Amino acid sequence: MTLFPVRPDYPAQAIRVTPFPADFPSLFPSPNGLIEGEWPPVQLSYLGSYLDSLGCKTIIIEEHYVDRDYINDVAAFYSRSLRDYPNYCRRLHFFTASFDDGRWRKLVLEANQDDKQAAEQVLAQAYLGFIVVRPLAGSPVGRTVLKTHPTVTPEGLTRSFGAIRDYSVHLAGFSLNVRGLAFQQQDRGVSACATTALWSSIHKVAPLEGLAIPTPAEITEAASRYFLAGGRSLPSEGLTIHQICEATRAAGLAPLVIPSVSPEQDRAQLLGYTSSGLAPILALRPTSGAADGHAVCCVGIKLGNVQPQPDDKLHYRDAATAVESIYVHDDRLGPYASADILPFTFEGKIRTGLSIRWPGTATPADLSILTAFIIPVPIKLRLTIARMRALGIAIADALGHRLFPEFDRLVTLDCRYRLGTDYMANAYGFGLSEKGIYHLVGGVALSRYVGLIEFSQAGSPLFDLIMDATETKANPAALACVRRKGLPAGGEVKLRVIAKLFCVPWIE
Amino acid sequence: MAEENRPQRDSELTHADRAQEKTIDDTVAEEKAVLDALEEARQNVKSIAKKEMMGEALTSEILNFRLNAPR
Repeated sequence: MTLFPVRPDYPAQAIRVTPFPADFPSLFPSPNGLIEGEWPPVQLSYLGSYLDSLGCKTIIIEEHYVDRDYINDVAAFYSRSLRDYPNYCRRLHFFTASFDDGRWRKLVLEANQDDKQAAEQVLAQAYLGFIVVRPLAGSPVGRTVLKTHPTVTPEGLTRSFGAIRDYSVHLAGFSLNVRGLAFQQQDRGVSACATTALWSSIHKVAPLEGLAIPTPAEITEAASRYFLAGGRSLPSEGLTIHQICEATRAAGLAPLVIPSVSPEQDRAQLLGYTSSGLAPILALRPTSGAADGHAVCCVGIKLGNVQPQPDDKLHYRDAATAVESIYVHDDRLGPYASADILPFTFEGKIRTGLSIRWPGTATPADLSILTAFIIPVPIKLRLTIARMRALGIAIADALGHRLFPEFDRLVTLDCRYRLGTDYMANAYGFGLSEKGIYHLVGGVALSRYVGLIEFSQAGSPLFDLIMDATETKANPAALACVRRKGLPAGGEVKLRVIAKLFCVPWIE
Repeated sequence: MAEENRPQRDSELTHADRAQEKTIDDTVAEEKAVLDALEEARQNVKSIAKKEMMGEALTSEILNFRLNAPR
């Protein structure tokens, strides 16, 4: 008789194909015993609804998948439990094409007959993304990357998801790709809402700097290393904004904390940072006035038309007035949840309200007050959107009044960041002269990230003021003034003066 | 005094010299107009620019705000 196996067994792998069910949560068995809260969790119902809206028809289930974030959570927390939590997950892959086990087998065999590319193409074209299903009964939704909503709404408005990136996925030897931003449900063991929001935000910016993406367990531990707001770090009791900053620094990034000012200024922050490819974390306070708040991660914005200037004394338009709503990863709901921005009177002041909606309806799932933004940024990015705007507003007002009276109250101001290398590459399409392009690409040193103050009129750019984003104050930080195609003939005479004022070259 | 060192009288300025002086004067006037327009705009938007900078006022209340909404 032997008491123990000679060696532990390896887990079995299996890949199954199943049609996408009308009741998506039915795929997930409910936990035993009395359930805290409701079952199925809102996140599963939301994901089912979202995938249905994307036209999902088929699911491929990988029965054994080792997820880096989950296995790290196991090492930090679950391995110390009495219960024998497995260290692996399931992974569900979603496709818009209808196929069954037989068709899947045929694809694999066709790939084996020297036609792998064709088989891969069939899958790649229909791929919507994946959900890692953790073996945690109450919080099964692990790392999830799904395709975004279409870029044009049914009403013809534009959806811009600046904070998404490409994810490479390997399934049965096939290489697939999904463009989105990782989302996951908080498990209340290793992570609470703040951890998952920060984790999503870092997923976008860390690869830009060649940095590793910390797991939720690493984020929570880094946040609690020097300062604990509550009694213990694990299980997580949430994080303060101070702790979020600490975890951001531990990840090799810099935390930018911006208090909410007003709906107008907050729209500008959302537009500026999201269109720059960053994912701001929004700290929300409940309207009930409760002490603890909630964190979501902004992934995209819905844009309408730039609004006319309502103030008679001002002569420019603000691109931020086009922001109609935003899309957030809310771990209480799901990825790419739509949220309306509205003025909300709270304690006698007009604050920025955020109404997060159930997909496809106008019914608000949650109404909160925006308290602050926390944006993990590359450490070389020091010039803020606010400082660029403070400078750009004065120039835009001058352009739309005395400098170009024909553009009175039509000049639009837009501020964001660009990689200097990307700006250089795009400049070849600006219609610059031979001397101009040669000077720009060969004679102007750009910082890694540049602040771009763009002045346009009727959607056509007039000129760009390029700022050094490694500086802290906007005024001494200009690098160049670059003519754009929309500038009328003769307009360069006045703009050369602006370039001279900033001691930068005028490039045309 | 040698002929070539004698200063020119206004009456002896050529048409080209006068045209160049006028261009320099025009340029100076245009520059001043642009700078005046910028300064006027800067004063005009002073309160708005100040409001933009309000987002830099961090308080300990904000930093200590805990984010812990239940799932």
